[in-house]
Amino acid sequence: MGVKNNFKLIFSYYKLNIKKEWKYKPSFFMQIAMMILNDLFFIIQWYIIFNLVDNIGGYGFNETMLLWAIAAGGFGVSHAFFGGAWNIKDIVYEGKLDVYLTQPKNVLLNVACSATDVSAIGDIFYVYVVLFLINAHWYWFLVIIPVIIMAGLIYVSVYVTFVSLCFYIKRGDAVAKSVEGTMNKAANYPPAIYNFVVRGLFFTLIPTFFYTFIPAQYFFLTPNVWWILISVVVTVLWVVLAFVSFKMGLKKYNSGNLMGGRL
Amino acid sequence: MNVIEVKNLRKEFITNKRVIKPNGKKYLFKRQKQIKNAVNDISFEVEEGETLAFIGPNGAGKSTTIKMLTGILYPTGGEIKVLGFNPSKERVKLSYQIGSVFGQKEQLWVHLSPYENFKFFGSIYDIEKTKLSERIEELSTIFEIKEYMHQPVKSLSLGQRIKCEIVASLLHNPKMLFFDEPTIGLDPIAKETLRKLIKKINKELGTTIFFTSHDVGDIEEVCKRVIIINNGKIVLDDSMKNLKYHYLNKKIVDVNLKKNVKIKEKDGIKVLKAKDTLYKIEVDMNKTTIDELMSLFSTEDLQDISISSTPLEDIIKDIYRGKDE
Amino acid sequence: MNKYLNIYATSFKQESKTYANSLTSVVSFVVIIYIFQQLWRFIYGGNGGGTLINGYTINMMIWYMIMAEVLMYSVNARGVTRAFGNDIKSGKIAYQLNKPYNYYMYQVFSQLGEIMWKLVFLVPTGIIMGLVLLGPIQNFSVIYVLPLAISLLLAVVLTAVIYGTVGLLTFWIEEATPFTWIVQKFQMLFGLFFPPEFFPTWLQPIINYSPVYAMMSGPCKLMASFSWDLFLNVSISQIVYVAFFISLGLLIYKLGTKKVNVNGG
Repeated sequence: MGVKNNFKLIFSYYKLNIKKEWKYKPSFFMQIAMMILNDLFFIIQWYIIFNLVDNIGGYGFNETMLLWAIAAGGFGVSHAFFGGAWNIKDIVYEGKLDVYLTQPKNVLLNVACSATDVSAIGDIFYVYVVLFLINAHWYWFLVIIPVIIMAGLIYVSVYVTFVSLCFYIKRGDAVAKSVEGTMNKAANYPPAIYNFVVRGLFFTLIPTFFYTFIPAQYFFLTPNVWWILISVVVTVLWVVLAFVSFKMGLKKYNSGNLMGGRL
Repeated sequence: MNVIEVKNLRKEFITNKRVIKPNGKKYLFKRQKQIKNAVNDISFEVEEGETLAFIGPNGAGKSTTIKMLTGILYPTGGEIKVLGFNPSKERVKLSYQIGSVFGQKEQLWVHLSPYENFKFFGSIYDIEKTKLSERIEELSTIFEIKEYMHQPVKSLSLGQRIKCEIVASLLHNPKMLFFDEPTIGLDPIAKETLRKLIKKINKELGTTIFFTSHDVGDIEEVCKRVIIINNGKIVLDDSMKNLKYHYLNKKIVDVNLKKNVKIKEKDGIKVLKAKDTLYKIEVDMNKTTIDELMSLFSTEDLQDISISSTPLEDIIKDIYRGKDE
Repeated sequence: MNKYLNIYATSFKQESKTYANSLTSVVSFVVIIYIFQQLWRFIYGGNGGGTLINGYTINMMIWYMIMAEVLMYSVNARGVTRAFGNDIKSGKIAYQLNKPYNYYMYQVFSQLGEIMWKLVFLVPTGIIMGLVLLGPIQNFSVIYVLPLAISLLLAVVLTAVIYGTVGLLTFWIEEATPFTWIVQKFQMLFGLFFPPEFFPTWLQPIINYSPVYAMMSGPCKLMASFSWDLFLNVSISQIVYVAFFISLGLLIYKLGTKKVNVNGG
């Protein structure tokens, strides 16, 4: 059962969420359109930058756009399919986890899939807009699919791992938000701009590089089987870490008791 | 057969409070560990088909207990078996067998209709499509929700919503149904509906019912057995019949008379408070009747009257007093 | 006037209780400044003060960017629009009408309280970041502190008033935040990322006369290289735009409340 049923659950959540948003059609399309436009604004920014300088550590306009596309895709996948993860803080502090705990499904998966950020669908579209724009090889259009799924999994797993602190301390989400923010921002720039120490950080504790740079470099620009394998392993490790830290946190869950003491 | 077995169950909550300086301000970093024993060494058993109420004042430990039974909270100590499962270790297996309705923690999606919700819950509990439709049909008939089953949940009244909540938790045909404060915040009519429903579920579907409440009214109508809990400990575990005889037989009557009349106490009638024309009178229904009380003054003098049950806090006080004697 | 200052103080105090939020935004602020600093360093080719791009040395560029990020982080555009729009949306505005203050001004001062709290930690963080990354600003004099502070304050007031005015559109449309979003994008593209000199020549005068200049580019250029002429120029633009948008806001508010009175919310 396990895996298959969990996939069914994800699917029915997705159906339900879309149905819910679909009831407000104008805002549904508006949100998607705005997200695409938002991402397009940044293209202008990079256009200006690459008028000032040819390349940044070997990354020109097209390569940087690829980084952006992967980041947008990863963000899109994580928020469209696992949008509920960003509600964990409220769900834990307000004792709303009770409902999920009485249902026969993995709690983290259940929570993460329970919400969809519609605008994130716009980010996924943007990936293809960019690929067209930079005149990508045809097979890039296919390879990008597993790449953004992996990026999305890493992104949400990192957030969940850190937001699980909410089970132990008040405002654990502040840590998670800072880590997420750093990862998100740093992911969009060519890696050459960072110094040695920061690069180390981005390979490990805040795995920005596995989010965008490694996939861009070794799935597309200079394909390399070993790096592909490593990034698959790292993704799996982060997913496992997210599940483990959330599960450990659950033991400390107090169902909103002693709210006064916490907030 | 026992469906619930609880032995020496305990739950501690630990908080770190900021220490307060003598001048009333808080220290920035100094914290003090505070341990609260929400549930303190309780044991009980529940048989299949029972309707059990778990009652106590706010903060007594009822919700904490029910949450440990359903696998939401990890116990600090002791043993739990629900339908043969250990809730904290076999949460998923157990959840296929039990249903739960938590007052004020709604599980329905408010923007969608109950029907869409039921479909969704079907997939959460892996119910086959045909079986699910049959089940929805059956339950919607029993609970009389068909006429508004396709409206968005947010447009329903509180009473209608709670009915749908219950249907949602019965879809997977659970052997046991847990209610945590289901009547909290409901108006009297909705409360009455709910009480009747709980009885009906127990009778027609044979589901074992376990529910918590701080409202004595809930248990009087619904339950055959009552456990009263206070400060994390069980203070009474008895049949409804006995409880009624010993503790719920007293009514509190508040009367406001037009003029000052002296009300004489007699067997079973005790004046608790008298101020000008206002009287607070306790009437022991085992010994006398309300009519008897009414005969103590002329009905023409009556300005206002209200009759209520003894508050739970007083019953608990009574129980403690009885133990001391 | 006194009561508006009280509103301002109360909102400042309330905001100052949200340590965790403040901390998160400091971290985010530091990260973004670090990234942009690294990026500019790369663009300037790593050889420090020598190179000029469109008249900017790398140090000027980074001080420009720090000031711009302070302005960006201190005003939560969406939050301001929502604050102005929420009471209108929920119909609560009807209860505000008979209170002894002007609701529009009430919101302006309450938002400024929040913004001031953010400046309390963002400005020192920005200055420290700049000094650590670059060392002291060349040709800087203590006398410049006051005009720079004035310019910064006028910029945040203007920004708050603009997003507040957008929020008032809620009188007529369901959701005003998409407009906020568009305005904000212009603010970022033409003010935050690059000084006006980085844009095509035909576009530069448009930027220089637009509110974006008063909100972002103007004060940031002052930070990059101070001159009294520039200060005068920026201040005039700021004062004109603040006056214009406050009048516009009051007018929209008046029209809007008329509509509420007629329709009953």
